[in-house]
Amino acid sequence: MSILNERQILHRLMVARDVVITPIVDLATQLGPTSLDVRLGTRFQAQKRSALAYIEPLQDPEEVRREIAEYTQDYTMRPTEPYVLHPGEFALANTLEFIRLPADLAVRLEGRSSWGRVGLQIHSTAGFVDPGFSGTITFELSNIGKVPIPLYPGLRIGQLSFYTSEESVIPYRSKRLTKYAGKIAPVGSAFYQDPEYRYIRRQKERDDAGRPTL
Amino acid sequence: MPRDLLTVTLCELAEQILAMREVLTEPAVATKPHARAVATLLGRGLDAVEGHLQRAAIVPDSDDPAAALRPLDACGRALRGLHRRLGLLDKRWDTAPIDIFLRQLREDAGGLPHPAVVLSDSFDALDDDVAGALRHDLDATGIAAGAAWHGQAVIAVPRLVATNPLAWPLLLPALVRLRGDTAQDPAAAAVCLGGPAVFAAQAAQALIMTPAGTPVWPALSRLAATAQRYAIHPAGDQGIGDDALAASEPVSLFVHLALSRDSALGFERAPHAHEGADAHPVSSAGAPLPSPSEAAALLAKLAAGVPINAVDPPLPPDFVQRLDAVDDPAGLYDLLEPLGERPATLPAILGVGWLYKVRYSYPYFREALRSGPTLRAALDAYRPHMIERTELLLQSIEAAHVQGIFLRGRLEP
Repeated sequence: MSILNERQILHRLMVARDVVITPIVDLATQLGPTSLDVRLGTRFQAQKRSALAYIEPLQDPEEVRREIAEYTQDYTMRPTEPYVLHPGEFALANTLEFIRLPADLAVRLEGRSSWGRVGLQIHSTAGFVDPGFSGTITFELSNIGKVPIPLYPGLRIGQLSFYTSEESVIPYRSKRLTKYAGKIAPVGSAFYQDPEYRYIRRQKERDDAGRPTL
Repeated sequence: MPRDLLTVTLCELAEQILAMREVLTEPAVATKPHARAVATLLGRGLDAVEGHLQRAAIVPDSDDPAAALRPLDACGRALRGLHRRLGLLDKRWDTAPIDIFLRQLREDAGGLPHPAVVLSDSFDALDDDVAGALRHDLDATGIAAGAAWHGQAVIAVPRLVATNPLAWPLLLPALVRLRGDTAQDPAAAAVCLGGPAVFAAQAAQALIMTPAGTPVWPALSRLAATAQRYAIHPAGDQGIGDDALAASEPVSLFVHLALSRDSALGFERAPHAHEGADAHPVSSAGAPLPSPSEAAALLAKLAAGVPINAVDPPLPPDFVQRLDAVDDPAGLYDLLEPLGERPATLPAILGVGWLYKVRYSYPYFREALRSGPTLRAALDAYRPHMIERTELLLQSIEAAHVQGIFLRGRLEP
């Protein structure tokens, strides 16, 4: 696995055209030696307070989806209005860019140092994008600083680095379980769709069936 | 009756039903018990509309074309009734996407008002003059409203229209009225702003919302003639090739459907002075349409599931050699200079969106109807296609708008 330099990135984007990244507003500003800056899109999903004690993933998935909605709120921001991320807050957003990767290229999303210096983290754990991905990439925004951060759509808050690999047999779009493939707006967590919960739920039903009732 | 008339009309009704179901099943609606109760009621209403469609239009009892069309008229009225109650859901409705559309329209065409957009339960809200109606109501009470109504531009948009970018050209006549430009024919002015998509959106709406006792063509003919001229106009200098004809394809289809519908319902086609060669001249001040080759490239992108926010730059012929040879920063930056994507205009995005609907969505729906045992099965099969198309067009409009802001900022002194 090797990292692409700027000429290789350009070649894949402009000549081979097997990597789709659109829009590219200003290549000269966005292209680095081994990276391409990406911008904040217009859609945000904020977390809000809820009276729910916690979300029980063993419930019916529709009920889990409803409970998640109790503490999330979707917003579309006009480009001249900021989404203000307050200290300690977390929100999802998406890249302005729609991205499609071929089966032999993975991407790593990283923050930019200018934003890191004011306490903005753009992903908390999932910064790796599989070969074959198609859609916008979700930012997991956190403000770990002490001052509110106004975020305008179009700002370059992240950068992508590209890694070649042997062509994958199961690119992201073809994976048996993909919860976020092809999504454009930021999508809240679908952790409850992991099959493990289904197995635990079945086991719980079996356990409960054998329990004496009063 | 041509089969395509029934397919397109059913597909347009299906999209309204699906769009309303999307609203009713939003998790945010499910979080409030009172909203959930309203959603359940409205859902039953939609079940009834679907059942009616299934019995009357999908499996018609007769070969009489009018017999298949008349039940669709009832569905249009029923959907209006359901739409009137959407406000009872007590949910947050997002007007930012349609506001971004209006902002971009001002950038594309210039000289437009920037009205406040509010959402309405009335499906006919776009015919409303919010300020005028309010003043009229006050006058009717005997309380003089006074003259201080300027600068309060408000457009009320039906809630379902706000969720569908392909329906946003329906706002344009209201914008033209707000602009107060009386020198130009309103239909021509609207087409100049939004391109042929204005006619396609109006005609699609007319097919499902016009009562069976009323012909649609008289209200559409002027718009049709203008849109036809406008769609072919950009190719005028190069001759009319297949690509140029493709750009006017939605216009031709909806002209054909409107006339077929009226004929099937027994209306005589009244001649109109402004049809054909007498169409109102198109102002050159309109937003530019894409060239035929650009439109074809955008359509190919959309068909591949890629947003159409930008037109790819042409690659210089010696680009690969120069890229291989470049060995200093200045050389690389010189190479990058002509490679910027150009944001697509709204008439381009919407025009290609409608072309995509004609080329892909209607056939997809026809196939879903053929293979599904029931209308419900067809709707289930069609839903992901409609959602993906809507998401791609929303992303296209928003990304093009943001891109335009940064591009202008870079290029303007």
